[in-house]
Amino acid sequence: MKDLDFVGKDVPRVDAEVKVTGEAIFSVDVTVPNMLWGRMLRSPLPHARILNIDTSRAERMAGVKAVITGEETPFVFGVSHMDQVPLQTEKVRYVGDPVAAVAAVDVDTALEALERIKVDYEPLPAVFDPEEAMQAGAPIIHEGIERNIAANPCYNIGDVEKAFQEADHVFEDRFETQRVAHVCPEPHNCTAVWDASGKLTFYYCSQMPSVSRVQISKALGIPESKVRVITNHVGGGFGSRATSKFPMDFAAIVLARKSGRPVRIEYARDEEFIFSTFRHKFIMTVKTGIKKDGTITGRHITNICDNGAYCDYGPVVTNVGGAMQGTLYRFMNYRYDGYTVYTNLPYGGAMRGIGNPQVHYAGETQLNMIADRLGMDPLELRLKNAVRTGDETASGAKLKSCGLVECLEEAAEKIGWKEKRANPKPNRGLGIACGVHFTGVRLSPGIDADFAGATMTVNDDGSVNLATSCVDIGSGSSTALTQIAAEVLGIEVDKINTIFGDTETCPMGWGSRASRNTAIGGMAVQKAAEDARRQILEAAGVKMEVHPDDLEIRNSTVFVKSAPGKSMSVADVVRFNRYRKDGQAVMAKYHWDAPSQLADPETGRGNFSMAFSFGAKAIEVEVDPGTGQVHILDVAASQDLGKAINPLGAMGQIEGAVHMGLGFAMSEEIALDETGRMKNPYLLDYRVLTSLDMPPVSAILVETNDPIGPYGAKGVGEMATIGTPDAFVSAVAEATGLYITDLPVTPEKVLLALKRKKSKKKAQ
Amino acid sequence: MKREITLRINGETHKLEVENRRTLLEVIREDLQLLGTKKMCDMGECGSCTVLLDGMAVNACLTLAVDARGKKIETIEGVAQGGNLHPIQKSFVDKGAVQCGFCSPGMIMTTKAFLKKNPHPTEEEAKTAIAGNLCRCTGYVRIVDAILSAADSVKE
Amino acid sequence: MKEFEMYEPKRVEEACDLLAKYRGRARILAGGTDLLVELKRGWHKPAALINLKTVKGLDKIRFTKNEGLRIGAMVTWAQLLDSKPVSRHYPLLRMAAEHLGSMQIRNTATLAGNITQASPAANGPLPLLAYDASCVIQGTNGGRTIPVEKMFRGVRKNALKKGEVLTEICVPLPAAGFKGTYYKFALRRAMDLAVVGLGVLVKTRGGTFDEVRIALGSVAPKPFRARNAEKILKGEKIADQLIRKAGETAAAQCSPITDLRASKEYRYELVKELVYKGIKESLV
Repeated sequence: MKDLDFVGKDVPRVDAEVKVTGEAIFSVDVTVPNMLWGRMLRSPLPHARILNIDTSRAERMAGVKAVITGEETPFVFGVSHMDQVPLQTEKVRYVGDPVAAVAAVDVDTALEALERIKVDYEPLPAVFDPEEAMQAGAPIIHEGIERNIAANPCYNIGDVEKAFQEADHVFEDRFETQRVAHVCPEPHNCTAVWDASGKLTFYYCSQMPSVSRVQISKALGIPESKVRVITNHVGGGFGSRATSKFPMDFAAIVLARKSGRPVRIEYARDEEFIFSTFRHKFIMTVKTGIKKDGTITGRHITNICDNGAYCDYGPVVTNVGGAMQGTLYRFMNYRYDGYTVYTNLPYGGAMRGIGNPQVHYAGETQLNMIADRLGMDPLELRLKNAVRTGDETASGAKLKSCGLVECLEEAAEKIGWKEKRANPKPNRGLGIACGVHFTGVRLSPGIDADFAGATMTVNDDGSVNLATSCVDIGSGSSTALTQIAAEVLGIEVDKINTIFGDTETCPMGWGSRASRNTAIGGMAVQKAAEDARRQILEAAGVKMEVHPDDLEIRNSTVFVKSAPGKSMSVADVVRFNRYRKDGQAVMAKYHWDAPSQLADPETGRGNFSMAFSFGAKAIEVEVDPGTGQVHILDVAASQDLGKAINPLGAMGQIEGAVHMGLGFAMSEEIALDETGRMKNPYLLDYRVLTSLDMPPVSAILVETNDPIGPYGAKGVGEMATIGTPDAFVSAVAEATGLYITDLPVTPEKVLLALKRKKSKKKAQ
Repeated sequence: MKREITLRINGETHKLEVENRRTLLEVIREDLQLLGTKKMCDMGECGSCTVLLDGMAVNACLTLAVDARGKKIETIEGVAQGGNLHPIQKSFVDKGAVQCGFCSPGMIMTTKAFLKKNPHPTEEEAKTAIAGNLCRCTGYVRIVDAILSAADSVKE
Repeated sequence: MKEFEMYEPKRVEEACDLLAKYRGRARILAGGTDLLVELKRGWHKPAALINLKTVKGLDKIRFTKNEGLRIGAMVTWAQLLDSKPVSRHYPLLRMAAEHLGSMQIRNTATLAGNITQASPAANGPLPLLAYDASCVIQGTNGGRTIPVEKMFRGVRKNALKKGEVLTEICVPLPAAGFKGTYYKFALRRAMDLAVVGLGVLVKTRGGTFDEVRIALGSVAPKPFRARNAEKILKGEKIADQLIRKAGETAAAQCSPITDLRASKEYRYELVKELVYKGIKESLV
């Protein structure tokens, strides 16, 4: 195999220059002539019937160009469960549920107009706790949904009861994780523009513009060809833009149609916190059977997912958490009972890791607790049970590449696991955890597809235009895809222009979610590039009177392998090919569907992803026993990504994911009051770590060269989010002797736990 | 009631009619179409709207436009010189400090003001300088790298 | 924000007259970093802002050994950080500046604004209380000077009467031998409000405490000096147990609340620990 010219190199991001000059246009920067500003009126009550909505005073206001209610937005939709309408007509189900929208000449006028809309509500009893919501007699939030259980994804593999009987120890522990927000830098926004021919142009910060197009066209009953979704650069996604934000989107679209002018709706930062579908709160019980020698015999996990008022990605999130826990260790007896439960609260959605980080947190933290209880080394315990290349796991995943063992060993080595545990220092502790995530996924029942598309044209001068279905939401996908195209074509990176985001010029795909861009997007690009390359070599072969198999391309030059002096430029080949009788362009396209399978509907087993990425996190902390403050001394984050197409980019992704994981562990929380109103929807009160709070982070890349992905690549972005809170809590446990598992683990929780431990000791 | 003010931005003079309540951020984005300065929170809590006033980094969202009169205002659009990236911008590109890019203009403006005052910073000083600029993508690691690397190449 | 009138007085007297004329419906605009947030969130809708930036001479820091430090109302936190007299003679004030907000906020926000906004969690009051600073106030009926401690009437309530403007903060030079420290215990190392704030100054004489000053913030509606704790130390032999007792005594003087940042129980514990630590650190 030839040496790689572009893949595996730290190629600077292809979009970095326009971003550092401020030239890069994000959806929120789009301005359209004659644009109006839209705002939505939202319910102040958590659960109520709508008796009447009077918009007349708002309609009469100067500067107000359109007012709409749910009667004008009768579109029913959702992600997996069709339980949403953009504006409510009958019932509101959470504080913030939208009931009307206005479009006006400026934001201040729109906000004033909202104040003039009169809504009469009849309050209904509300429920805010999912365990309560599941009880008989609890208020029913969606008619017909018994006990408010929207979904019940289960896995039942092997015989978990037998496994517990065969175990020497059985441990059961309960864990809860908190709601956290994506905190995308660019707030949610969209601009809807209709033209006289009935065509809609919709500017939207989407992770999946072609899916948004399908959703919009279906709902409005107009052909997809009449809907153009345009996504520019995206200021962060992390899953919050992996589906339409239906209320906002459809309000803008219908207001634009009614007013005859473009309408922009943009969230203020507090709206962004509350309404961009945060990470769900999970209440989990983990029961594990284990033998004396450390072999795990089986696991049973129950997970209650606090969905909030509407499903969005909730059922998928509940499902994923379950699937992945059957993919990490070698036990084959596994049961998972997931419940996606409605509550009268703002609702969650997809967030980086999509349910996996929470369930891993429970499973991995418990494993460390078990190691503690049995006097075993948590690292050794994991190495003993870890899956390996070639395994078919409990969940049905077929691991064609698996670097879990190397990841554990590398992270442990970097943190100084052996030496430091042999010489423990007071108030210091180490924690370790590992995890697995998929690369693209087939976990939505009935949807037997997971694809990406690429189209490619080679120009007269040998430069290339590449269009991908993958949106670069900051992960660097455009750069990685450009590198793959460059490598296959033998044409330099800076001659390839990669675009995304416009449904009129880019192929369809699932967009950017489930860590699929590099691998699935990459395979579509690779295949398209191979086709383009074949076309170039065929044409060159004709011109040079040589068999295409004897030709190679490198540095934009086609040359004869056995006589490199005999060559012509790619540009010359393209021109030769085009400007002749019966000439042809060099154009290629590919739609690549990942070789994964839907799960068996009975057991839930299936090889539901093309590849699985593994990783480990090791953290060292020092605790101040006087204040409870935890200083993180070091973080080692190792990751098996198959092949690092762009190592600098991959490390950047991992470092950013550690930042998110540490926030999840220590400082971030969406705080809701008794009616579900968010108490801290501002960046001062919702604490993402600042530069001064970040500890040293070592990102370690482990390459296992997966046989399927382009150049061996697998997904990166989500696996990197897994394991951080697990390792953190375990490190604090070692430093303090206490497992403080109530996330986020704030200094207060640590100090008060230490004080309680002290007084317990005194009492004994 | 609008009033006439003059603002000097990136060396150019602009005559504008603004209400007292308009912030500098609103005016530069909405009235002047200088879209490089971003609005992430509008409350001075994130630094993405950082511009320089007489060389000092400030949050444009907490600066009234009328208060920016008579000051030398610099935004991200004025940083590159004659089509060439400023050493700080080049450093951000080369060191992998840019992911989604939304925080980048603010980070670069803060860095520009900081390095002028402290041309040879330690890592801790660099981290302190950008402590008011939030990033959700990078974990700040490569941004701090870029600042320290730029410190070596910034001559002015 | 709702629109407002903007006045740009050249002299403090004009500002006072305008404030009096507007009878509470006008606000002083200094740095504006707190005020503009209030306006944006709709907590306050003033009819007018009176811009202090146009009044000459308020942006100076003056220092003499006799008079100590005189900080004008428009002096920013960044200026305090750059000031040699502040670094040399008032280390607690310097530390409070270092821990305030962000570089962008420090370039704009003023110490005077920090005082008049009267947030219980403010950084500024603590070093000023420890240094026995005072506030120079000018009003329509003349001027007065009050100790900084008297500037606070309650949560976000200051002692300025109608038509009064805080023009200067005077900080006497601490007597020789004082050493101290400032803590801002917060959940983040920047861009955060104190869960507990502490300014402490200690002077010893031959193994005994000569004078101790303990200023606490975020643990009561107003920042205050924990005088009971100061009293039990004065004249006593330096001993670890005694310092612990001072921490407990200081905590007993607090009336913290439970809020987004912490519970009152935790704040009590923190006060005990931080007062102890702060005094010990000042003895080194």
